[in-house]
Amino acid sequence: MSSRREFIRTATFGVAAAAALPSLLRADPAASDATTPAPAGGKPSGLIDLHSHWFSPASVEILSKRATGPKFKVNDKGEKFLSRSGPESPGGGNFPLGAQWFDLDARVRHLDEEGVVHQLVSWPTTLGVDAAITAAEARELWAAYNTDLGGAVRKYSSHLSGVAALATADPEWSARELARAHDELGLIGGVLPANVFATLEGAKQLAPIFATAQKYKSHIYLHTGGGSPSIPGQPDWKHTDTAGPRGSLDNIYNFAAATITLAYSGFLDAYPDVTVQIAQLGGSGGIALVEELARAAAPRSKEPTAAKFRQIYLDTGAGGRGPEAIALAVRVFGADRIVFGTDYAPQASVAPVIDNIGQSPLTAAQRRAVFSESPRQLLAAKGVKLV
Amino acid sequence: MSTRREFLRSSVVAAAAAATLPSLLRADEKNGGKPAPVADAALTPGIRPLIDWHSHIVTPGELKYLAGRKTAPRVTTDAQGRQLFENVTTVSAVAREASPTSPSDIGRRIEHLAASGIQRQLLTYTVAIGYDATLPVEETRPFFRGLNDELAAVVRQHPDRFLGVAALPTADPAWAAEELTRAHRELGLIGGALPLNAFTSLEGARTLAPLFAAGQKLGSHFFIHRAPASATVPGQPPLIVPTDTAAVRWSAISNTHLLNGALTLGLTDFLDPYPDVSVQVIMLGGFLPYLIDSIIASGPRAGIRDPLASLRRIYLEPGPYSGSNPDWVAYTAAKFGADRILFGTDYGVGGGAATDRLGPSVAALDRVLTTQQRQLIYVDNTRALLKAKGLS
Repeated sequence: MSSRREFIRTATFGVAAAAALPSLLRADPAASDATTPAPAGGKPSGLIDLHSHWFSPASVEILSKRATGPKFKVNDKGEKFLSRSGPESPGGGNFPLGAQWFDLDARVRHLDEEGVVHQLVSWPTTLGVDAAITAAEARELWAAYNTDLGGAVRKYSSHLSGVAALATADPEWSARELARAHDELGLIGGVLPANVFATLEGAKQLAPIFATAQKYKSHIYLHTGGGSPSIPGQPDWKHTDTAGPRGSLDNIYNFAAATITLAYSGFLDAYPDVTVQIAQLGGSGGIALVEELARAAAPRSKEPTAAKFRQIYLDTGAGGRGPEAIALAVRVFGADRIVFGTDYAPQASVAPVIDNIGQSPLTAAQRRAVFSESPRQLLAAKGVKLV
Repeated sequence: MSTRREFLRSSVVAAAAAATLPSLLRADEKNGGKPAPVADAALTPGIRPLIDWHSHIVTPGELKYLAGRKTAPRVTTDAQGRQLFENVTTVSAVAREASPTSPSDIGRRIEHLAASGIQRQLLTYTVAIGYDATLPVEETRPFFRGLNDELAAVVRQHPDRFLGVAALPTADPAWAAEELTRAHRELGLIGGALPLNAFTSLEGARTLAPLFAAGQKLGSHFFIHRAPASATVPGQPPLIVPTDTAAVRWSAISNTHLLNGALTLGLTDFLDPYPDVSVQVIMLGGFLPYLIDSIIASGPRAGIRDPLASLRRIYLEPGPYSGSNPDWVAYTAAKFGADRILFGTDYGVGGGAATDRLGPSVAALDRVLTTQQRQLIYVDNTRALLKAKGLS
């Protein structure tokens, strides 16, 4: 979507879609008729995107020097890749890295064009680097990356915030690095691969990081992927057919398992001032089914959904970008728990997710909350002042 | 039931049965003739399901066999003379404290059917127990044969109320094919019940080719229920036994297993040679409704030209979600198509005088489904499925 006309078209479609869907699919059946197009002027503005990634210069340099995957490569055509040790990437393990992965000036121009006033930047844990390198390699790589990221958020302070990359192989070092990220780099928290939270046992290995996070009231971002093999309980799905759809299913399970640990197990009780953001709606809405089943099994539960998810935010992300999945998540968890996230960099444009939210059968107030108000309040609580 | 004429005759019998509802469910004469509030589901005018496609039965022979076993799965008798069922942990369920069990109360079940206005029920053994994975195949063969004889006897005794599918072992597909043939030709059953995890991968599903070849000749209906298959079937999911937050984690595990089974049956070429076989996956295929959008988007990249059409070869059936999570049934109807959903309740787990899931399930779905969706899910899909088998 790149024009006011296109946004109005999609917003109008949202109204039509809402009318066509059964009421239970609407995020707020009682208010669904209030779903409205964008206000006159069309194009949304003031959007805050909490899901984006970046390859910093130092990370490129370090990963270029590696003898084996994960290794940064440039082919004869000048195309850039991350060569990975696993086969999970399209192209036989070579993950393509377009210009948007590197160029912050172009990124900021793109954000301005699309009405995104601020973006949270993180390392893409999807690429599996943290799981594939030693603790020593991780310490060197993430320290360098975080220093670069700190420089980027200082340079583009009105547009960008950042969370530090942390080493799951060395939680003690990661706790110190998180403190440096807050004290010296101007970052607001850390990013970790979701799979290390698949069980309470695994999550407890990361207690040193969360103890520091509590002290700094950090924002911890759980993103796709696995961590160091030293963290127990990580899912290990193996498939011999229908890899694409089964991989999507794995992703749902992995995110749902991590969300269960954080929302249901009591792990976060010791860290009440930490906020946790989970990508892709906690697994494309799968966690919404899990929560509704839990509600049905214990209808008189003394712990309502809002209490369980008090510290947790789910971002729309690329995997959870379906308009109806967004509406379901809003219905189950509330619009104040769902935040706009585009997965920019792996996605070359933020526009598709803006479109999806525009088409989602939400009320105008819910859409405003997801696009702007919920992420704005979250960032404000972390000391990020937005104009 | 084997002919259209028999089906129509049994429908008339059902109508007569509805006319003789227990007094509890009739208009309360002591209350000025007003309908009794507890039975509102039964008395709500409108469409009622022809068949509950998801129910289980516990038989006397099943309990006798289990009582003879020294280790779980087994049945013991406590000091009060109660029979207690004890199971073992499998990839599909954790072993719990032994629980009371007894043969299913068929009379009570028929009362529940009559009260809810549902004509019939598909009977299956309790697949989720996982006999197929935990018993040696030398024992499974005679055990399942006896179970099928008992199930058929109930169907014969109440042909206007029940249909049945046979218990079949995945450890011995050749014998299972023979038993399926016997089930159709001698017992009057309409297909077989199989554990879902046999379909976790295409490789695993292909081990059942002899059984599905027989199913193709017979026009069988396969009821696919979450459960582990024999260890001889490759590609089954790993054992994940939650050490925390177990109830919620089992929900995620179970819905993941269900979708992997649905993907094998719906997206691979496994069913291509068996066009006359119908397949029913319970609990809406788990997370399937959530993944439909991304499957449609990514399918062509995986060489699947029309993923939704491919998936719609299978029937989805809600089982317990009908009563507990009717919203998900409506969501699935919108995403997958109401014309590929069968009504089901998961009635009868544990045997005995089962809790009535029928009326509450219908009432819950009535609240969220459109008239058109109910017409399809309650009536038309069943008619079409039976017609395809020459049954109506």
